[in-house]
Amino acid sequence: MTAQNNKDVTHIAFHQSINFTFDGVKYRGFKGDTIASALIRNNVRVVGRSFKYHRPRGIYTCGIEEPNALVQILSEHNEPNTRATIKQIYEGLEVESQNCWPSLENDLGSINSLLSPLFSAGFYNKTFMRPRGFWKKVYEPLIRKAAGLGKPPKPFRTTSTQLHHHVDVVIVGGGLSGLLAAKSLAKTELKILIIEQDGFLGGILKNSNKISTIENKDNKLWIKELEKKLEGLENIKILKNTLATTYNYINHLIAIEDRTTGTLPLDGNVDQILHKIRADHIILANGHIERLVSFRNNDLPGIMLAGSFEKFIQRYGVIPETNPVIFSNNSSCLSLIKKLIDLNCKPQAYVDSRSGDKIEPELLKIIHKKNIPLFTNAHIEGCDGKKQVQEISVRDAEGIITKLKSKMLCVSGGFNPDVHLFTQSKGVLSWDDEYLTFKPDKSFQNTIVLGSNAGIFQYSKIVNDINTKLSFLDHEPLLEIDLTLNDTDKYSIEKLWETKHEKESRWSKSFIDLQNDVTTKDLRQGIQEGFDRIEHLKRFTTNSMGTDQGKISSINALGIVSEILDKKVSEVGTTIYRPPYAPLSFASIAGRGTYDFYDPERKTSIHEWHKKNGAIFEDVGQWKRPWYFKSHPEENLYEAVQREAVHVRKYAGVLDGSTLGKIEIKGSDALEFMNLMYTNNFSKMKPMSARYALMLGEDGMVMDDGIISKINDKHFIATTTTGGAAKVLSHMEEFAQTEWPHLNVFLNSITEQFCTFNISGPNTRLIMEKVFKDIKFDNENFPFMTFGNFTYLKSTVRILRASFTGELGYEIYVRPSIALKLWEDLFRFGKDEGLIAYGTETMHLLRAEKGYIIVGQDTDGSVTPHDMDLEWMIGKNKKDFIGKRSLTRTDTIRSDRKQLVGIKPIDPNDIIEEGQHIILTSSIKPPVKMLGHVTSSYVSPNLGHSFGMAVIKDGKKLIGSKAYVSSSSKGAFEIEIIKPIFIDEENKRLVS
Amino acid sequence: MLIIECPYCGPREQCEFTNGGEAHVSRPSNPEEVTDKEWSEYVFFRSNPKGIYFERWVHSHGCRKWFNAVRDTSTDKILRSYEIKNDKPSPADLEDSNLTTPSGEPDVGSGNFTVKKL
Amino acid sequence: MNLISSNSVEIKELNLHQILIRGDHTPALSQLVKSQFKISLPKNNLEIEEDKNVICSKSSFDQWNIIFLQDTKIKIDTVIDKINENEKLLATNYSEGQIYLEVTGDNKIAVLNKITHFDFREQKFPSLTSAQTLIGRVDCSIYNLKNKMLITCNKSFGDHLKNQLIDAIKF
Repeated sequence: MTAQNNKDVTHIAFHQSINFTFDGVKYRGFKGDTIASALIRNNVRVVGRSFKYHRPRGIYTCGIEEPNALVQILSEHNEPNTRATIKQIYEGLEVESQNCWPSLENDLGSINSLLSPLFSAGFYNKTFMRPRGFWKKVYEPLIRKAAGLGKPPKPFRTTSTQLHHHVDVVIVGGGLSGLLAAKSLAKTELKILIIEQDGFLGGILKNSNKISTIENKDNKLWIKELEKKLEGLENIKILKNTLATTYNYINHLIAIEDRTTGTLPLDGNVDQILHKIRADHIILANGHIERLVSFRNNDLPGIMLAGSFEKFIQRYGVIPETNPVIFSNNSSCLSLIKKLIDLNCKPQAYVDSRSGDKIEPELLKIIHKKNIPLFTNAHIEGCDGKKQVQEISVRDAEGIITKLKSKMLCVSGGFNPDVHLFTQSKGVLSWDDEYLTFKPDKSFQNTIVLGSNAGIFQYSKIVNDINTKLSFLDHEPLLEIDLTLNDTDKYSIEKLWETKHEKESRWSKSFIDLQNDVTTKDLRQGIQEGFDRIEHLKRFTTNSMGTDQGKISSINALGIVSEILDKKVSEVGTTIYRPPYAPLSFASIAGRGTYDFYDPERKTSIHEWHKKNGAIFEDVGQWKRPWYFKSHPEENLYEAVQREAVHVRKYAGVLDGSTLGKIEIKGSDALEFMNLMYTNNFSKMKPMSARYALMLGEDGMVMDDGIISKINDKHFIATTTTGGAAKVLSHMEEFAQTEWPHLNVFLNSITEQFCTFNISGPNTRLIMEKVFKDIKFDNENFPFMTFGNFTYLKSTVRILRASFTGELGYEIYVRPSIALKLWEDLFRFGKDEGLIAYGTETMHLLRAEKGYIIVGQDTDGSVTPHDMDLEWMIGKNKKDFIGKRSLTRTDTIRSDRKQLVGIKPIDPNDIIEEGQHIILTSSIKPPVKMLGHVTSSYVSPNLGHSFGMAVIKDGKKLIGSKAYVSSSSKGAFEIEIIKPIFIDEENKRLVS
Repeated sequence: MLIIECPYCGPREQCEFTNGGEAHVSRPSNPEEVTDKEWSEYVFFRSNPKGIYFERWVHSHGCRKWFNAVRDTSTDKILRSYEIKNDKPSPADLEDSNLTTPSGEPDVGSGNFTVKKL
Repeated sequence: MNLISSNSVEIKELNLHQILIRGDHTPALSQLVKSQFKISLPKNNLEIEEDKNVICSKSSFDQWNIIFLQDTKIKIDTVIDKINENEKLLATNYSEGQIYLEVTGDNKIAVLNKITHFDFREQKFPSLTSAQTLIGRVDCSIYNLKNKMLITCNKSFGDHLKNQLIDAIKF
C-alpha cells in the first residue's frame, strides 16, 4: 500500500497536522484534508460495506458524487451518511463506518453476498408476503433494523439561517468557464452572484492537471488575481462552500452554504445558511462528472475513477497509489499520466478500449517515451482480490486475458455534463453522438449553460461559446485565451458501457449503481420481466435511487438499456432529476422558524394581568386565551370551571374577548352590502342597536356568526369568531371587490384597535354603574342589544348590552392604551359585587346551557341555519343574500338532515362526552345505525348533571323522545332528547 | 416558487398570494330564477383544463386586492395578470408561449420527455 | 425606545399615530387630506408624500395611510370623525393596534433579507415608496423613508416580529 504525499499543493497545510479517529483507530491528516484524502494518506482502503450485499467498499471518487464512502460522524450527534470525500477533518473528529456489524473487517452482513442470487431485482416487490402474520412480528422489525445505511442521529439543535438574494445574474460554478464569464461581465452594472461548492475557486483548474498556465500565468496565480479583482467590485459577490441544490421556477435557486468546513460546529454559531436566490438570468457552469464502466467486481476497494484519482493528487496533495493501472475509453487520462510522471511515479499499465489509430498521438508519445505497458483495443474483464483489488484481468481484441497484479485501478468511462440543475429548470436534453452523453438543449427559463456543462469538451471553443451566449448582456467580449494544456484540446471517446464476464456465475457481478448494489444483471432481469420503460426500470431495480442519485452511473444504465432494447439512447430517455442535487438537512429548510419562532404567540393587552391572577392559557388559533383561572394552586380545570360557572350566574364574571374579530364597514351602500353578506335583514334596525347575525357560505352552510352593531345605514361594526376573523374579512373583501364592485363600501379590520371585555351576571349593572358614573344602565335607558359611545379617561369607549352567557351582560370596547386601567377598575369596583375573571372553558359551558351554538364546534361547514334551529335569523323579504339560493336545494330541504337538539342523561350520574354517537337501541353490536353525534357537552353545576348539544337526523321531530348514547366506558346509556336550551328558557335574565 | 404580478404592487413572490379558483364565473344575477342544477354548477363546478386557464388570485399578504391571471396549467407559466373588472383577454392578445409538442404536451423536461426525440 | 443596536443595524420602537383611510381617489378626498394634514395625496400606487413629520402613502387604489412621525397637536379622533362625515369614506384610528419599528444602519437590508423574500433593491423599492408584504411570516407594511425603513405590523404579532429581527441581527 503505497500512498504518497504531493506537497506541491496549496490547499493543504502540511505543517498543521490533525488527529482524528476512524472506527476507533487514531489517524493523522492535515488541515484541508477531507476524511477521504486523510484516510487515503493512511492507506485505509475499506471504508464501508455496501447496502444489500455488504461487500467491502472503498473510496470511489473525490467529490459529491461519491457512492460508497458514506460515514457516520460520531463527534457531531452521530450524523449519518456523510460523504467522506467532502467532509473536512478537524482535531478530535470521530468517524465510524456504516452498515457493518460487528466490525468493518468482519461483517456478519456479508452473508448477504453469499445469498445474493436471492436478492435480485424486484426482490423488495416479491418477498415478505407470507405467512401473513409474519409481517408485523418478524419481517418488519428485521427490515427496519437492516434498512438504511447509517444509524439514526442523536437529537440536536443547529443554528441554521436563511438568506434571500435578488440579483441580475447568478453564475453557478467558479471554474474555468464560470470565472471567464464573471470576468467578461465584471464591468457591466449587473449585480452578479457566483456560487462555488468548494472552498476554493478554480474547478478543473485546481482539481486536475489539465491546464498548467492561463494567459502565460501559472493557473494558481491567474485564479488568485482574478478572484482579487472580482472581490474588489461592488456588484459581484462570491459565495464559497455553497452548493446549488435546486433550480425552481422562476429563475429561483436554492443553495446551501456550509459554515463549518474544517471545524467542529459550535453551539450558537451559524452552521448552515440556506440561500434563496432570485435572478434574472442563471448561468450554469457547474461542469461535468466522470462515469464508471461496468465489469466484473468493479466495486472492489482499490478501484477509483481516474479523474478523482487526479483530483486527490492535485487538490488534496496525496497520490493514492504510485503505480496504478489506468483504464479508459476516452482521451482524458493523458493529464493523469503526465502528472504521475512529473511526480516520479509510473503507471503500471495503460489500457485503452480504443484501437491504436484512434488514440491521440500525444498520449501514445508519452507512453512510449516512458515505457508504460500499453494495451489498446482492450478492456478490463474483471478484478479479483480479498476485500480489495489484488489482480486485474485485461482482455485484448482476441479475447486473451492478461492478469496484472496491482492494488489500484483507475477507470474512466467518459464524461457527463452535470445536467441536474438544468433539467430541474425543466430544460430539455439532447443526446450527443460524438461525446456519447446527454447535454442541455432547449432552456425553459432564462438559463445559459457554459463550458463542459453545455457539452463543450474542446478548450479552444470555450471563449467563443461564452462570447456568443453572453453578448445579449452587453458583456466585455473575451479575447482568445492562451492555455498550456496537459490534455488534448478535444476530448474524444468510444462507446463502452460494460464488459463481458469470462465465466458467468450466479455470484459474478458488474455493478451499475454502487450505492444501491444494482448490477447490470438486474437491469436485464427487469427488462425481461417487462419493465422496459426507464422510469419503471428505475423503481424496479432501485437504480439511481440512492443519495448520490446515480451521478456516476445513471447514463451508463441508459446506454446499457438502449442496447438491450435496440433503441437509441434518446428514445430511452432519462428519469426525472429531482431536487435537491445533494441531501439537504431539514434544519436548513426550517432555518430559524422553529421552537420560539415556529408560530407567533398573540397576546391581548390584559395578558400579564391574566398571568398574575392564576390564568392557565389555551391556544385559540395563534392567540393565548385564558382557559380557566386557578383560585388556588391545587385547583384543577374541572374544579375551576364548576366554580366559575356557578359564580357568574350568581354574581358576576368578566371574560377577555379581545381576540374576537372586529370589522368596521362603511359606505353609501353599506346597508345593501351587509344584507347580502348575512342572513339577517338589517334594513329596519334602529341606529345604535345590535343584532346577532349569521353568515353563510354560497353553499348555504353556516360559516360564521357575530354581532352586528348599526351606527347608521352607512356605518356598521361586525364581530366574528376568533378563528374566523381573517376568513370573514377575506370573504367580505372578495365579494365587495369581485362580485359587487359597484357598491360603495369599505372594510377595515379593527380587531387590534380595541380590546373587548364581556362582563355578565346578575350584579353586572351595579358594577357598571360604579365604574361609569355618568351612564344610566337601566332597561329604559339602555335596552338589550343597544349600544352607545361614552367617554372614559378622555378616550371613547363603546358599550354594547349583549351577552353570550344568557345573564345580564355588557360588552365593553376600549382602546388598548387604557384597557388594563379599565379592567382593573372593573375589579376595583366589582370586588364587593363578587366579580371574578373567567376563562374560555366556562364561557363554553355557560353558552351551551343556553343552547347558543359555537361556529366550528357545533357546526362543521355542513349545517344550514335550519339545522341549527336558527331559521328565525333569516330575514324575511330578502331577495338575495349569500347562501340563500342554496337553502332550497334538494339536499338542503330534505327532511332527515341532522338537526340541533339538546340531550340530557336519564341517570344524572352518566356523563355525556363530545363526539359520542346517538343510537336508537342500547345494543352496540355492529351494525349499529348512527342517528347523530354530540357536538358539545359539559357537566353543569347549575343543572346538577351533564348535558349536551347534538345533531341528530330529524332531531326536531324527536324532541321529547328517548334514545341512547354510545359510550366507550360503559356501553350505551339512555338519554332524553329535548329542546336545545337548559336554563332560563324564557330568556328573562338577559332583559332584566 | 412562481413570481406573480399584482396589478397594483408589481411582481411579487407566490407566497404572498392565495389562488382564488377559476375567473369570469358570474354569479347569477337572479338566483331565485335559476334551476338547482344551474345554481349548483355556479357554486361547485369549475373547469380544469390543461393549457390556458383564466383564474383569480388575491394578494392576501400584500394589498389584499383580487385580480385575474392567465396561466398555462401545463407549464405554470403566467402569461398575463389583469384587473378583476377587466374582460378576458382574447387568445390573439396573449403572448405565444411557444411551448407545445404535437400531442399538446409541453416540450419541457418531465419524465420520459426530458430528452428531445431525434 | 431603542430595541437593539449592533452589527451596523439599529432598530427603534416608536409610538406613532396613524390614520387608515379607505376611499376612492377623488378631489374631495384630496381636499380633505390637504386641509387637515397639509399634505397631498400621492398620485401613484405605493408612493409616499412626505411633509415635515407627516407621511401619506397610497397603499392601494383605495387605501391611504397617514402616519405622524412625531407627536402632533392634531386631535386625531376629531379629524377622523370629520372625515367619516363623508359617507363614502372610512377613516379608522390605527395608532393603538400597530407597532412601529424604525430600522436604520448600513446593514439593514442584509439583515432584513434573512427573514423576508421582499426585493429591497433600489430599482424595485425606491425611496419614498411603501409596500405590504410578509416579514418573518408576519403581515407588515414597509415605508422606505430615504435613510430609514419604517416597519409596522399588528400589535399582537409585534413581539414575534421584534424577536425575529433581533435574532436576524445576532445570527
